[in-house]
Amino acid sequence: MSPRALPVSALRVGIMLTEQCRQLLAAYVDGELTSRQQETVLRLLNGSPEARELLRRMQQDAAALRVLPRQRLERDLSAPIVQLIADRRLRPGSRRRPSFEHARPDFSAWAGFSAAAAALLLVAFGSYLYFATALEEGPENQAVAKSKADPPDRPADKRKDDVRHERTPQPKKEGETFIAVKPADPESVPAPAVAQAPSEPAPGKAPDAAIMAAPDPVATMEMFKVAAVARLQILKQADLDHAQRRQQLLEELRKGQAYRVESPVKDSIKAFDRLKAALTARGISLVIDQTAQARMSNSARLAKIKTNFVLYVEDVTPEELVQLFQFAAVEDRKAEKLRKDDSQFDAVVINAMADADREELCKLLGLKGRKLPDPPSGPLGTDVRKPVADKTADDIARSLTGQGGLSRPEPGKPAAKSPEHLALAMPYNPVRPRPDSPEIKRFLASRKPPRPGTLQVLLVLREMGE
Amino acid sequence: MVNADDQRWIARCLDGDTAAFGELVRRYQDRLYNTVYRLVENPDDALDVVQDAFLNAYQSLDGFKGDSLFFTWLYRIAVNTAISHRRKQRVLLNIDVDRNGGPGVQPLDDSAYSRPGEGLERAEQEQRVQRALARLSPEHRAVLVLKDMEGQKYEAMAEILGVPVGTIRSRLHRARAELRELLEREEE
Repeated sequence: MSPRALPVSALRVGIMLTEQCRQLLAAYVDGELTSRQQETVLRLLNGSPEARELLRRMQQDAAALRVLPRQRLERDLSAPIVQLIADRRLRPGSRRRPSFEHARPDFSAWAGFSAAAAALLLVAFGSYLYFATALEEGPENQAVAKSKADPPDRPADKRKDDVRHERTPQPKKEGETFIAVKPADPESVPAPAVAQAPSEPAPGKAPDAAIMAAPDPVATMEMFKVAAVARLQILKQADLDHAQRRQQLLEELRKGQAYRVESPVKDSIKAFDRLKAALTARGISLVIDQTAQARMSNSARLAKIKTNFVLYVEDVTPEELVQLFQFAAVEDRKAEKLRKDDSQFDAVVINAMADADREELCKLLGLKGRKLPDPPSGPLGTDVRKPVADKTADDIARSLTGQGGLSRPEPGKPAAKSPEHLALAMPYNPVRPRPDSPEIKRFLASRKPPRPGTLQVLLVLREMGE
Repeated sequence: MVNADDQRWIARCLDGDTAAFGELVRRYQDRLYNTVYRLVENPDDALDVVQDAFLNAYQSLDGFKGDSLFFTWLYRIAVNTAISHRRKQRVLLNIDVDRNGGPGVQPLDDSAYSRPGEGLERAEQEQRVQRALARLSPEHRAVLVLKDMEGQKYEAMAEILGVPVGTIRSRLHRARAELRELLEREEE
């Protein structure tokens, strides 16, 4: 099959990715990767278009779930519940703990366990005797028994007899024993080895270590190449040092207008601080929502409360965005020099902003609708419906006749202050911003029509667990 | 680990002040209801489950050791009650969210910026997601709701559902794959 001929449906559930890879991608969406697993995922994303597509779709689904409307109770339950407690004369401790609670083992519990274990042993022994006898009878069962006894790596030619039995099933005799095999728990089913990693995890090794031990998860992952899905870019910090890679990134960024950027970080507060420095250096002021501020406070830092933050900025050119990444990378390297393993932005994942992302953004900002409305087209704060003042009308008229409405500032005097360019920082998970927070209002009020060719960027700082 | 305010209210409940429990109910009822609603899909059932969960929690309050957040403990009771309820109801399950009186039936969007028909499209998308969610097994649905809608971490989810973190990881991965499959079938 030619790569181009691969049906779209083949991409949909990641049939060519190993179970481990898919699980890692899902954990990435959940923000639950260790830094080592994160490296593996980034390598995987870098090399596999299929992994990129699967990640994009899973992120979209997660966003679609997040934007489902929250259900609120129509009435306060506190009074009826307190009344019920009184009516039924309930009291704490009046009920045995729920069955899923770990009960304290006592003598009677141990006696029960012992009896159950003894019964289980008896059943197991009886079953063994029964099936052992049954397996000795009948050619089919012999074949099953034999194949079980054979080591899995035995050459095929030495198993001809077994194959013959399998291919020419004997008619079933009356009274013959059949073994009913209980389907395994789906959660414990081993990965369908469509594309196995080259080596099995070493016995006794932790699964993570086994994943990491694989030299490159991409190399053996795909049976054949799939059509490129170029919507997702992985930008590694080191890429920013190469002019060619920067140029390539710029070209990719120019193709779209809105992006969702995900950055897996070790410490979201530290990462945020560096990003803030990078934004300030680019002349972009940051408005931090009050819930986010609380999650960045010293007490939150001391308590090591984990928060994922999201930053929204618009009206940035692709060049400015790349410069922003470069500046953050420089800050990161400075920090790394001072303290080992303190770098945060090892890589970022850049994806075209999907409808679900836009909807999620609206929800974060407390706006109805599925797309952030365009900012008012007039100058900042101007209501275009109001009549213009005479002086303004004169300025416009002079402007239109080529005389210029606004004079240049005189040498030595400051120019008129340009409108603020703001970015908005909000908490992303596990808490969300208050939709009517003054910071969000301020950001929305400051929006101005974007320059042509500029981008909208939703940047998620996703803290990865260690 | 338990919040100081919660601790105070719990202590008062254990001293026999039932009204103090009312404060804990007020504090967590909405969050709990939202999660339970997503698990049982029916407002009346959700209300029953939430009420039962609070009553069970009250009766088991002396067993709360304070080594996790009170809300996590409460969640554990509610989610397990909801999953059991859901299992019992499964045979009779009506996956049509509309007929269950789900929230997606009122797609009105009064945003000044919304274009005509956008509210309807949005409602349709919500219904698609809800229908797909409704088709998942209670266990798979629970992990998706706890992760994506409640933003819980694996560790807290493991505590809530009483299973190891590895099981949460694999359940979530399977739930995501299943949800994707269902949504794509809806789109076709």
